[in-house]
Amino acid sequence: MKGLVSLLAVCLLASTATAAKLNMLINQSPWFDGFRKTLVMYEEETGETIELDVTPYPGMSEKIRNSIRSPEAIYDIVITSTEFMATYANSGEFVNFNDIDPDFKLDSGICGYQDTSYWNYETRSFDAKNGEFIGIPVNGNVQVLYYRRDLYEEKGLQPPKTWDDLIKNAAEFHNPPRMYGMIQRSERGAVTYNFGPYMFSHGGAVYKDPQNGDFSIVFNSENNRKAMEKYLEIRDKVGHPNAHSIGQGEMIQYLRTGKAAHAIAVIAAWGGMDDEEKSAVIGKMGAALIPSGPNGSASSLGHWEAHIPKNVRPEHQKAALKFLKWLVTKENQIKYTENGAVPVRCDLIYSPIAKEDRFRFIEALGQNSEVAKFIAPTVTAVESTAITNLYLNKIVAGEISIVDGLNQAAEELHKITADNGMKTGMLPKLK
Amino acid sequence: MENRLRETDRYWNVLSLAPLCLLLFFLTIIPLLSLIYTSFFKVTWDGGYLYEGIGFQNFFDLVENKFYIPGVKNTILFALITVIIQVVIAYAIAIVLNKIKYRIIYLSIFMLPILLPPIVIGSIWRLMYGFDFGLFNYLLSYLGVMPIDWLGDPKMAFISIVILDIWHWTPFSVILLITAIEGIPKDILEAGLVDGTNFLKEAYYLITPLIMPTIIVASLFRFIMSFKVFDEIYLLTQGGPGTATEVVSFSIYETYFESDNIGLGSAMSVTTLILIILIMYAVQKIYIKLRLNTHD
Repeated sequence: MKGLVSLLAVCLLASTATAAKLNMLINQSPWFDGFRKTLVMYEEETGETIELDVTPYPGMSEKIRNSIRSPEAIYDIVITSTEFMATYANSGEFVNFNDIDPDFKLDSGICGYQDTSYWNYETRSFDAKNGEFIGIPVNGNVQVLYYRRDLYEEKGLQPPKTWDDLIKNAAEFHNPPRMYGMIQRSERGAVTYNFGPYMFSHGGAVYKDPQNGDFSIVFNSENNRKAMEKYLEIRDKVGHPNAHSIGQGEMIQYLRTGKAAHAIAVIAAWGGMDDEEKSAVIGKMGAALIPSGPNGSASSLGHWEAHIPKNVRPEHQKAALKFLKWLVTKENQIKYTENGAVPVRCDLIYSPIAKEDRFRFIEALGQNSEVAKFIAPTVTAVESTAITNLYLNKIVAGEISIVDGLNQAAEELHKITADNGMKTGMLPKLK
Repeated sequence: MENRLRETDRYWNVLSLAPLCLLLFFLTIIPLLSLIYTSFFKVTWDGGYLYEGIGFQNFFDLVENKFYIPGVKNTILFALITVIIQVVIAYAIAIVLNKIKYRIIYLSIFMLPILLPPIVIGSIWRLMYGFDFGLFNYLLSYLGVMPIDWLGDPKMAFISIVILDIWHWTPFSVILLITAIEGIPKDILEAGLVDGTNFLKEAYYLITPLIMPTIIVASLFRFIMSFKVFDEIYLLTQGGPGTATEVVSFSIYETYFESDNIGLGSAMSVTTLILIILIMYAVQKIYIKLRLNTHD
C-alpha cells in the first residue's frame, strides 16, 4: 500500500513538473514546413510541446485580435506580419520580454528590420532606443531579385547594379510570351509591396519620418513620381503588359516554369525553385541584391515577428520565451534554414552554409535584409496600404495618371493619419 | 368545451412557437440591433472596447469611402446581370430536362458546381483565366484568337466574375424550377397536348405562368445571395483592377475585420441591409402588380 502511495506521489510530482503545453498561432505559408520541422527538433530536445494553429493569411489578424482581447489568451505565442504589426504592437497587449527576463536582448547577428522588435507607445512607432522589447523575428521574409543565373552565365552577364542595368539585361531575354524579361507583381492586393524597392531606391516613401513619429504624407513626392516612371518603363520595355493583374501565385509560376528572366519576389518563394516536383528551373535560379536607384538599393520588409500576449499565464510566458530564444540562436537558425524556413540572422552570410549551392540565396537575403525598409510602419497600416494599393494598381492599369494617382492617394492617406490623431502633414500637390 | 379546446390550442400554438421565437430573437434580432447601435459609434480598443458616440458620422464616411460606393454599384449590377442570365438559362435547361427520361443523371452532373467549395472554385477559375497559362487563352490560341486579359482588363474582369457566378449558381435555379415544373398537374399539360400545343407553346402558355411564383422566388433568392459574393472575388481579383470588381461584402470585410473599424463596418452593413430590403420591397410590389394584371 505504501509503495502504491509513493508511486502515485511520484507520478503526481512528475506530472506537475512537466513543462506547460503551449499554443502558437502561425500562418500557412511556403516557409511553414521548415518552421514545423524545426519545432519538432525543439520538442525532441526539450521534451516540451507546442501546438500549432496553422491559419491562412486572411484569418490571422482576426485570430490574433480575438486571442489578445480575451480574458485569457487562446495562444501563448502569436506572430504578426508587417501589414498589421504596428496595429497590434500599439494595442499594448504584448509582453515586454524584459519583464520576463530583464537580461535578455537580441544579439547583433539578428537582422534589425528597422527596429520592429521595439515599440514606442509615445510616438507610436518602432524605436529600438526608447521602445519596449515586444517582438522577436521568426521569419526573415524580404524581397530579393531573382534572376536566371544559367542564362546570365551563357551571356556572360553580371547581376544588375542599377534599374537601367536591369532593363539592359532583361532585354537580352525578353521574348514574350516565351519569356518575359521581368515580372512585376502589381495586382491590387500587392502592388505597394512590389513597388517598395523602386520607391525607396529613388528616395521616396509614404511617410516622412515614421521612426520619429512624423507621419506627414510624402507619397506624392517628385521622388515617388520618378520611381513610378521607372516601374512603368521596366514594364513597358521588358515586363509583362498585364502586370496589374499578376499576384504572388502567378509571379512564382512564371519563375518556376522558366518564363521569367527576372522578378523581385519574397525570399519565401525560393523554397520551390529547386524542387523537382514543382520547378522547371532547378539549379538555374540566382538571387541578388535589388538594383539601386539614385538613393541606393532598397527592399521592402515582409518579415514576421513573434509576440507573447499579456493575457498569457506567467509560466507559459516563460516557456514561450524559452522557445523563441532557442529559435534565434545561430546554431538553430542554421537548422532552420536547412529545414527550408527563412532565417532571421544576417550573420548567416558568413557561415559555411552560405557557400553551399543549395543555400545560394543566403547572401542575397542578408544583403537585402540590411537595406529593407518598412513601407507602412503605422497603426493605420491596413487602411493606408489599401489606399496605396488601390491608386498604384490604377496607375499601373492605366486608369489614372501617375500625378493624379499619387495626389489622390496622398489626400486619402492624410485624412487617415489626421483622423487617427497622428502627427501629420502634406506636400503641395504634384504637378 | 369547444371554447376550452380552442384556448388550449392557442396556448399550445404560442408554446410551440416560443423556442423558435426565442432563437430568432437571440440570434437575429439582438445581433441586428447591436449592429445598428454600433454603427453610431467610433469603437476603439484600449484594454476594453471604448464606444464614442459620433451620430451619423460613419454613414457620412461611407459615402466618401473609396471602396464601398463602387462596391455597391458593382454589386447591384452584378446581381441584376447574373440573376437574369441565370434564371433564363436555368428555365431553358429545366424545360428541356423535363422532357428527358433519365434527368436525374443530368441533374447530378449539373449539381457539381454547387457542391464545390468556393475557395476551390476560385482557385480553379483563376488558373483557367490566366493570361499565359490559362485554359481559355490556350483554347483560343487554337482558333487564332489573341489572348484575352480576363482578369486584368477592368471591363473583362467584371465579365469574368459574372461568367464564373453563372456557372456556379445556375444549377441552383435549375433545381428549383425543375421541381416546380414536376409539380404541375399532368392533366393540365395533357389537356394542352389535346389542344395541339407544341413544345414552345406549352412552355410559354402553360408552364411559365404556372411556375411564375417559383421563378420569382428563385430570382429573389439568387439576388440576395449575389450580394454575398466574396470568395471568388477574393481569389480572382481582390476587387481590382482598381475597383472594377469591388463588391460590398469585400468592402465590409476589409473595413470590419482587416482595418478593425467596427463602427464604419457596421454602418456599411446596415446600409447594405436597408438597400436589400428596399430592393426586395420594390420587386415584390412589381410582382404583385404583375399578378393582379394577369388576373384582370
